[in-house]
Amino acid sequence: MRSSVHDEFLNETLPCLDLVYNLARRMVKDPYVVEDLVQETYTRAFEAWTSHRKPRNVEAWISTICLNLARSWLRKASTRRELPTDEIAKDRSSSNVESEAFQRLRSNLLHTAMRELPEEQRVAITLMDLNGFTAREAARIMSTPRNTVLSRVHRGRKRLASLLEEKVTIDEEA
Amino acid sequence: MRKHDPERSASLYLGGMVSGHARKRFEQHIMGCEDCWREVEMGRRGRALAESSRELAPQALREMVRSTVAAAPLSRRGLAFGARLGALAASVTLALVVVFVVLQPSQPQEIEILLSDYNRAEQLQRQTQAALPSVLGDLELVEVRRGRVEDMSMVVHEYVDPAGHIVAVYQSDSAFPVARGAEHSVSGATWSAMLDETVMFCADRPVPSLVIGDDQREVRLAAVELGLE
Repeated sequence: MRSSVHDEFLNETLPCLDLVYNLARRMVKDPYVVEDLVQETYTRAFEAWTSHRKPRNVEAWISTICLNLARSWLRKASTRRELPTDEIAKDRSSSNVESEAFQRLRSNLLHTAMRELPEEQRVAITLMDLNGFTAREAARIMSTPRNTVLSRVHRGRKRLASLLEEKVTIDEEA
Repeated sequence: MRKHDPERSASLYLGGMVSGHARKRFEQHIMGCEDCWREVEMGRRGRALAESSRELAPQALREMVRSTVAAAPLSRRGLAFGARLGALAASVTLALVVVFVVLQPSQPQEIEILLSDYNRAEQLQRQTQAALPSVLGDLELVEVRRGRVEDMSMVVHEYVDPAGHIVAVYQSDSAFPVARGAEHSVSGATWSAMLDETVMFCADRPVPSLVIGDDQREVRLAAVELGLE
């Protein structure tokens, strides 16, 4: 049965769902694992919510939980092979409008380019550029000095821009 | 003088770490420096791309999370702990109110600056090597900075606990001024104070140290782990 604690937790943490989802999406490839990761993040967060103190910064706190779970999953996954999945086919199948197809292609290229970044750059970019954390908050979530985070974000952004240019050039030539 | 490093300069500039006069100076510099211009341009382009890849969580996932949490049991141990903590917090708050109403303190300049640095990390800017352990109980070291506060040279080690509470350990080569409204220990070797929900603990030995945090338990833990009591 749902109590006021459940309601308080959901009120405080559900606004962070997009943030957790974006982080999970950049950490693992398989959309089913992404869903599991997000749900596990919320389950762990609820346990911690009822067992410890209420966090000072809910967004940073729940991102840290998600990041730790994802890293743990990746460590285990490194010993097994991740199943390839067709994310586009799974997520979108109904529309064939040209502009939507272009958006889909662009989004897919971007997502692929993000996946090609080293993990630490990808995490730093996701925290700062997608989820809006400051360098200081990202540094705390990643347990890394602030200047290191800034350097990773900057190198990741540059690499992302070049990767996308390369991909667009290849597509145009093909 | 620091060596010209376009990548570092651009990352600090885009990260909002350069302000005021230095920002204007860098903006003038990039107008004439091809390398810095390219770094900033590439950084901005990459940031725009990354921002445009933001996605909304599917509605189905939102519903799944909602029902998973709704079905999760409450932790009894957690509730008991919460109740104890609540009682402790209430008594601390009462003490704080008494201190403020009776004393109306204004703080020494160094204490004001350190409180500001604790809240915004603006005073001590230079990264430096850690001199303290990377773990203190459940606190993990995340950042080490150094700089000057008035006439005191200062190093701060910032730790964070699993709930995101920050504990900063400031160390200097000279003794810290005593915060107004502080309470001294029986031995007189240490003092503690609570200012605007921020807890401070200070000791002169083995090294003049001031521990600042927003959670009393974590501040005490850091002090004990560092042998300040």
